[in-house]
Amino acid sequence: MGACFGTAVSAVWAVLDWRSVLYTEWTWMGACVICIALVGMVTGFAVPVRRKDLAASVDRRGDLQDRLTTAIERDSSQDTFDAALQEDAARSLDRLVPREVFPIRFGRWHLATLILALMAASVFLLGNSPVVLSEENRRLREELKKQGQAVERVTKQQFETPDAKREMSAEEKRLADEMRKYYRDLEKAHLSQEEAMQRSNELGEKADQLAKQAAQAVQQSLQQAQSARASMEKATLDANGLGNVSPQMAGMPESEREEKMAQAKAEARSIQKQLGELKRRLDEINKKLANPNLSGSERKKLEDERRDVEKQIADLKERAKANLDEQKALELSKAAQEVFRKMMEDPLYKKLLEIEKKLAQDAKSAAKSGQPKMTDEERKRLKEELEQLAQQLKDPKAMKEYLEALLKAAEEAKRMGRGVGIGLTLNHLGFMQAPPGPGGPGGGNWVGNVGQVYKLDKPTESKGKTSTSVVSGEVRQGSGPQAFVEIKAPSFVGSRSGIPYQNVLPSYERKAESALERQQIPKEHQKRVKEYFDSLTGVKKE
Amino acid sequence: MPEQPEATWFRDTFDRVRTEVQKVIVGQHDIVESVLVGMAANGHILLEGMPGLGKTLLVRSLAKSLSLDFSRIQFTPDMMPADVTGTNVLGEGRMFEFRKGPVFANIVLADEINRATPKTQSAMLEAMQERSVTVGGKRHDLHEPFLVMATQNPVEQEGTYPLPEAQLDRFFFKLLVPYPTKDELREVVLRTTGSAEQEPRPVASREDVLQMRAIVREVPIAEAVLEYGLSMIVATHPDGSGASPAATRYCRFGSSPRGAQSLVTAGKVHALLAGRFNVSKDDLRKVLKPVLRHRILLNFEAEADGMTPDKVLDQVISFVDERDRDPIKI
Repeated sequence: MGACFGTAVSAVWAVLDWRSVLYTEWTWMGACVICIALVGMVTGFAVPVRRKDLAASVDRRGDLQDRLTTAIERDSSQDTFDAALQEDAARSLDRLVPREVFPIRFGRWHLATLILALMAASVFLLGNSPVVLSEENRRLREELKKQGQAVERVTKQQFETPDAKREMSAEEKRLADEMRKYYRDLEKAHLSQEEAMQRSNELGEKADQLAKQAAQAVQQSLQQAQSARASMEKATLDANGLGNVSPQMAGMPESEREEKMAQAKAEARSIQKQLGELKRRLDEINKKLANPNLSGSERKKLEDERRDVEKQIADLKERAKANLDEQKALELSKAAQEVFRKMMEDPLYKKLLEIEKKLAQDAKSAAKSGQPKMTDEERKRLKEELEQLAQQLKDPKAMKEYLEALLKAAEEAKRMGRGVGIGLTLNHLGFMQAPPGPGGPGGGNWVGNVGQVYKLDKPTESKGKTSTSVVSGEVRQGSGPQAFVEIKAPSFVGSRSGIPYQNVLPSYERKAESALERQQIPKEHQKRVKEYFDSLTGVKKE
Repeated sequence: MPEQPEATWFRDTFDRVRTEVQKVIVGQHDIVESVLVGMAANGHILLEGMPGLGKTLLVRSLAKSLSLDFSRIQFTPDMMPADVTGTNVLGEGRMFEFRKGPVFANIVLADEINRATPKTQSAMLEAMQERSVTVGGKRHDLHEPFLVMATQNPVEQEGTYPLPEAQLDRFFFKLLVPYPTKDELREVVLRTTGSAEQEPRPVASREDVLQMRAIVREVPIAEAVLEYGLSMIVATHPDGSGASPAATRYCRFGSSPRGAQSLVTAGKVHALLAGRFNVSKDDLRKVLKPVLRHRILLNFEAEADGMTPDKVLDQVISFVDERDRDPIKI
């Protein structure tokens, strides 16, 4: 019965596999049958058989004329015939051969098991066997399977490691589930190429989106880390009585400080000199004012002049004070720099700065181009290093905050790496490796960075409202196959901009010209850029 | 097979009586055995068959081999109950004294019982059930063992009064006496037309019969076997929840509880004869027809379809057997 139920489950599974609802393999179906059969066997052994039933069955099978049933019922009675009955039943039982009483025979359950097994196998073969396919379809199917294996490999790498399972967010889990469904669809070749490519695009977009979100999170974490580091540096200065020194000044190079000190001293001398001159002039004015023969207008003029000089003297004194403070600060910054130098000599701090720098570069690169600088392995190592550092850390609160922020950034970076990894894989799948067909109208959308182009005969209809446009271009240089499909729709259905291109064209054109001016575009391509914008505006520019 | 003194004695006695009876009765082995089973089970037998098939001879031979009193009552339409039970007559001392009728014997052959009026039939049937007769307000017990063997002619004739169902129910078995085969007929002719006639010897006594009846009651029956037997009885009830389709379609009335009692008792005798100490389902199957064929009343549809009680009972057995499944499915 267990085997029968097992094959029934397998048959249902095979149907679900055929309908692309729940995939299976031979091994899984076989394991299902064996497991349920074992459960049935164990249950069979575990469920007690009532003596009465067993006796009735043996009576029936061994033609004992109900001797056992009666004897078992009356095993404690002592009426006239009971002793003889027990003896008769025992003798009759002794004459039986158990193998003949309960022979292994092909019964209804066996037949049902066989039929269900055949059904399961047939349905499974119907959905999976390439025998019934044409040569071309078989080859396409093989290609899809290969793509599926590639997606499976990267999905497992990215999502099925113990670390990834522990760290994955809800969005990542959803993406992982979709990826699994996708690679199984591919491996089972239950998708057409168009569907496979569209799914690839959708999943790639989701992965990119995840990577971008993660990159933003990395940057936020890094900002927190920087803020924590600044607090930590300020705390260090406070601890050394250098609370007035800003961390920026403390980080000033020696030569710059000397230069600034010399400037300050020169300025101080200049101020002293100016002060002396102003004081002499003030004395002269005071002497002139002491003359009683001065007219009213002359006296007034001298008094105005004296006020002006006094104000200049006051300003100069202020400047002298500031200059003195600056000189003192520069003196203190030297001490602060010494403190920082000692702090920088701490290998732990040095390491943390190094990690921060790497993470910042990685996040910047990922956010900008979608391609991080570090590999997954490097990110993993980085996180491990941070965790080791965290164990060594017995420093103040600020240092701990800094480290925690870096750790968080490292985790986000790993997440970003997963998204980027998936996105890259999906974009590099290289669909449609079929022989070149007759093709439809020229042009189409690129899918993947491949080097050999095949175009599907059948264009894919989409829901876009725009008409088909022709985009001219050249095949990208490089090895490897390339493929594209013509989609009669906007390039990015569902995420397209609603702004008419005429509105944005001037801005983009300016940016392109600016780039050309800054010579960011190689010379050999500058002409092509100009031609492109000219073709859009319809104006020939020189 | 283990030896058990009572069972062995039972079988031996049964065989001895059978052998003696078969010395006179040619063939009819099943009928002879069934009559003996009824005797051992303390039940009355209704024999149905054409005249001249040896019914009277069978009963007489049985009485002789058992050393029992035998009387024969030839029922006729003008027969009165007193002709069966006996009557009070004025004696020499001017006192009424009871003169016993033919029913006061151990084995009574009620020949052509369906020729008597219902009044006389019921007097006979009362004696069968109560094992006593009441005359003039006084009860007279019959001698044990008391065994009535009634015969009736299956052919509908004028001046017959078919036995009502309630009275038929009092018969333990109804046996259909078949015609003898050609070989059996030859043997009958040779035996009865030659010079030497075989006479059965008495090989058992009145006490032996009573002892046999006591032994039969000791045979155990398992719950499952009893359940099986009762299922067969219930399957004859056309309106019951366990009715078989055949009973629902063809029966007006099913078996009474007496049918169940008779079935089990007859099964016990068969078990002992088979050398077993328990009743089996096979035993019940074997005795089902003689026990129930006169206890089920068929309807008009059965007659129209040519169904007989035996055919209906065959279907009842099949119906119950289908439901009696092996509890272990391997």
